[in-house]
Amino acid sequence: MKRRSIIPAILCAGALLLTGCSRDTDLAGRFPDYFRYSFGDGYRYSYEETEKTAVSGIQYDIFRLDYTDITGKQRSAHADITPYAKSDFKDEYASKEDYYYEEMQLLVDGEVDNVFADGFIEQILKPHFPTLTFTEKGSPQLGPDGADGFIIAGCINLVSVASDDELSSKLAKEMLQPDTGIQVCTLRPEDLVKDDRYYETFVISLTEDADAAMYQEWFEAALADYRKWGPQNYVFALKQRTEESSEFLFREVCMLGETVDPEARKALWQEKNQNDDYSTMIDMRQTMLESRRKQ
Amino acid sequence: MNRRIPALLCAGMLLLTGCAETRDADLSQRFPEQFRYCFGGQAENTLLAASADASGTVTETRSLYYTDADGTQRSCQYEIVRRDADRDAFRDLLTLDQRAMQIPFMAEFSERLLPQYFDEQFRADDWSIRFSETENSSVYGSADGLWADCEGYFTLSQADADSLGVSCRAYGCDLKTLAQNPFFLLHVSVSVTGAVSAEAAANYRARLQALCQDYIACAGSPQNYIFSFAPANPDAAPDAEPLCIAVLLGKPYEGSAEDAVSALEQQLRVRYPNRQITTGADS
Repeated sequence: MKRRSIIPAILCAGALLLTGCSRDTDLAGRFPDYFRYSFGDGYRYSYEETEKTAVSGIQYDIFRLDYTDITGKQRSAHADITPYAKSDFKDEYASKEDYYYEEMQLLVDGEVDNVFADGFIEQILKPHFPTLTFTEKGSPQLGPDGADGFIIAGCINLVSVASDDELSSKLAKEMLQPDTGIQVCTLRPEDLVKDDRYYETFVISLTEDADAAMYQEWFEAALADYRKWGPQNYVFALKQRTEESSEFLFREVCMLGETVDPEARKALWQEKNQNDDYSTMIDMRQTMLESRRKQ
Repeated sequence: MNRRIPALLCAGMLLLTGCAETRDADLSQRFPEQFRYCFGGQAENTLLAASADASGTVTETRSLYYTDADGTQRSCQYEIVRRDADRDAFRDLLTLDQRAMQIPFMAEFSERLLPQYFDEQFRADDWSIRFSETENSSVYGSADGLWADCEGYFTLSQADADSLGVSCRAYGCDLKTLAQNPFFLLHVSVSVTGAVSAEAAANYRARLQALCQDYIACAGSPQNYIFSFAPANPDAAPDAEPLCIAVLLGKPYEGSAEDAVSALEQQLRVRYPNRQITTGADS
């Protein structure tokens, strides 16, 4: 009797193992330590495997994740993942491992973006921009939004995002380790901005008829509060369009670990390149990339 | 094992049916899985009209409703030919997906960023998002001796777009998502067409630079963009200094706007050697 009951158990275990092996896209199984570290013990996940379409041959898995953030808010994330073996892009990765690191990083980056935007809006923007309005769903990536008189454009980025070099893969691995990576479930925007692997950009553009003095006051107050977080890399800019003047940017503050004088960098750039299509944001990102490559 | 047999039979039947007779042009029925992926489970694909020409080719006019990243409902009307071969019909689906991805992008760019700097041009022309035969999206307008043109296009041929597969989807797409797609290029071109003082030309030039900064701030790390400013002819604002801010695959590019488009083509060919890269430009 005992032997009979053992056989199905062994078969079952074998089937589980086989199933486990075939589910290549199981990010939680692939990065178990990081998942426990980043999303806490209480995270839950599920899969939905789509059918392979007859013509395209495309098949992907929908990975859904639920976890609780530091404020007690329930958050959900999802990723649509094509198994490595079926991906048309697999040749562009050094290994299968690299491929799934990128999938995982995309999932984590999305959550970092959302957590940061929520905190930034609540703690920095709302107290200082009382006329600020948002779309019904909020502004998850701090996209252009605002009210009569101004728009705000901004977002947070991992320095290597969308960069096509070894750094992207190297940093993804660093970010997805329990000892060096980002912990999403305890993430607070004020901690995130201290991480020198990220940079933030914010531009507030005033309309022509807006009261520049009032908005500058709001801008300075928001910036002062933001600086209390101890951010490492950011650009804060305030601009207004006028008919009379071609000077739009009247306040730009830039940090790259330490305060940077955008005008001085612009002058250096112009001296070297003999033209004025200088962008502080591009300059900052390039500088950060170069600095990371040397590490 | 048992689950696989009907799936294989089903695939065989689809292929056979595809070869045997003209199929309906309702992509949501023909490729339900992929359609759901591209446009979301709540997308609606409605037949508005159908007509046939002398050769028997049936063209349907349809409307598509789907939701973008912001939860905003987007829609587009499109024409589609009934195809025999599933492969051709599937390319139609990807073409539609590429078009649908550009709608929230261009809407966000045109409604919120653009009017901050070129309001007169776009107010005067009652602009809207237009699509060319190659599915490039554009908005353009002119006023006060200035022509402003913003065009977005995919630098990937349709023949190869299907291999992109799940990398592209309109559902949940927004400005940042598309801006970070390496195959997508935004080209904002501002030209002085009439009599404009040197001072005004300098002002327009500075507006373009400011618009570029806003775009970068919104998109984070946009992969490909060109912001160019130039007099349209030697008589128009001869003192206006041309400008070209170009970033290709995330890296600054030194050169003219015309060269930037072909440089992107070359860079993409190096990065994606197995793909057929085109400029996507109408010309």
